[in-house]
Amino acid sequence: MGETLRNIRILSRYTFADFVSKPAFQIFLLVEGMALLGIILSPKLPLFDNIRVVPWFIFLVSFPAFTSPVVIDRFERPSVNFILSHPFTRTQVLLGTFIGVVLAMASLPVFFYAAWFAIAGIRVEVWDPAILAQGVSLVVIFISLLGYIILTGMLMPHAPAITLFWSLYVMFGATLLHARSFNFFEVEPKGDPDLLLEILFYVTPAILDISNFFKNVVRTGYGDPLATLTSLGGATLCMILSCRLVGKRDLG
Amino acid sequence: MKKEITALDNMSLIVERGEVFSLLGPNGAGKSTLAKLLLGFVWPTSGTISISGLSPAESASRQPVGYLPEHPEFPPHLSVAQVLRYCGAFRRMDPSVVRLRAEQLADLLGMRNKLRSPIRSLSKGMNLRLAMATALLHEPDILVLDEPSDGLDPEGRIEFRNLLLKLKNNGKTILLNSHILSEVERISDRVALLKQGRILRVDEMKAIVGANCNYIVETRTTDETLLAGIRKNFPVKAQGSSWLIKVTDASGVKDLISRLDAAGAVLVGIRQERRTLEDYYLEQISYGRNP
Repeated sequence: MGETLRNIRILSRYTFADFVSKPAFQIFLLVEGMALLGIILSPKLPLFDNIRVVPWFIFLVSFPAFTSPVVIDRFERPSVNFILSHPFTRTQVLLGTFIGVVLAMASLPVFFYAAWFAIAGIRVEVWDPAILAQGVSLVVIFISLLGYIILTGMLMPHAPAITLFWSLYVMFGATLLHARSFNFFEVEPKGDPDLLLEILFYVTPAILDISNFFKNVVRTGYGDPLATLTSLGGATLCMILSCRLVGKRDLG
Repeated sequence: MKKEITALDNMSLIVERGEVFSLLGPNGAGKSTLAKLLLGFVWPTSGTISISGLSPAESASRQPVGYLPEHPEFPPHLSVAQVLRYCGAFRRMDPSVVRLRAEQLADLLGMRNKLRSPIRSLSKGMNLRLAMATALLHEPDILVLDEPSDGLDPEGRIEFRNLLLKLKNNGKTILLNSHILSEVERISDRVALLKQGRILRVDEMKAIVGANCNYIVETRTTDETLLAGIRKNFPVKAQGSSWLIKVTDASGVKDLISRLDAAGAVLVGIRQERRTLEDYYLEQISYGRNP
């Protein structure tokens, strides 16, 4: 058992180091830092006007945008043979890589939310544990969704299930967003969500689904029919959701 | 739907401790698949494989093995030293030993000035050297080398060959998969010829290139039909206005002379030359004949 845990630990550390050294991750970190700097320098603390939307958007939509392809690529490339040629079992490799990627990805929203909470607390002197609880729940939801996507990607590298879960993720995210879960933590909403950001919330995965479809076609030469179907299905679902929500807003 | 193929079939092979055993065969013969089976990357649908008595399904079977893949790939943004450090950790090596070994291997493989370089900046040859360093880091008893000098410049190939000879002299067991026949000929103790997933034959290198000699029959003819017929059985090479036909046995020479004579071709001469692994390979794979 100790040996297994040790192997999983070293594999997750290796994956973490590999992941955080990627330029995409570092660019994201930079953008995050700039956003935080903006919050610090802004005289009116603008993110507080969109408290319900902006963090959700950043945490739930932007990060997985490059997670799924990265993980899938990782397991399609010969680099996995490099790891497998060492004395590890497949289960250890799977778990170690999974934990490494999840930790690397989760470090971004954890860092952002913690910094945002601290800045908000210092500037408006609101140290509300409910907001912190909101952040913790947000990160837990994020890790769960992300973990699900990653694990599926690792188990089935070419699986159309990835796209299917993308759709589920969007639906779940949408439910969360619109349930105004702030009420659960008794946080009073301040201002309306930004409509543009809300639309982007749905359009981004749709674009990713479409790009995934093209990726499938390019990779296989003819396109895996099931992957194609679910990619397009996922994209359509996202677009329908987006249109319906915009429509509802107009009616409301 | 993926088409199912039988990559290896009806195969029985034992590689002895301390020997250099090479796998030869055309692309798609199953050489890399055999290496992957040994390391447990793929599993056989039937039959058994063992390394020092352990099944590849047991992770411990890979502890004494160093593997150099055909297309080595490492995380592009990590440095050479980082990759070696992780390799050492994967093998449960002490960090100070890893540092020492990394420096030794960097010197041995001519990549001392690359230790801090990111993998993405390495050339193909340098990437291969790193792969070799990862394979040798824990001083394994067994090496599985899949196309070890593919992508190296001539100087690099010579260095690599000398390194393999040194490893052989140190008593390492090496399973070598290479298309560079001159390299295989110099290093190997035994070779197995594979074609379409089956072993055609296993031979001692001494028996292949030792006592046997080739006969070079030189002829002059313009009869294209005759030449086409000969080409089906023997390698034929043009030299000026003559044709050089390589034959491996005296009876073959006799038959060839009869054919040339019957077709009215001019027999310029016959001479003997040392048989190489390339000749052996062509006989078996291209002409499907026994030496």
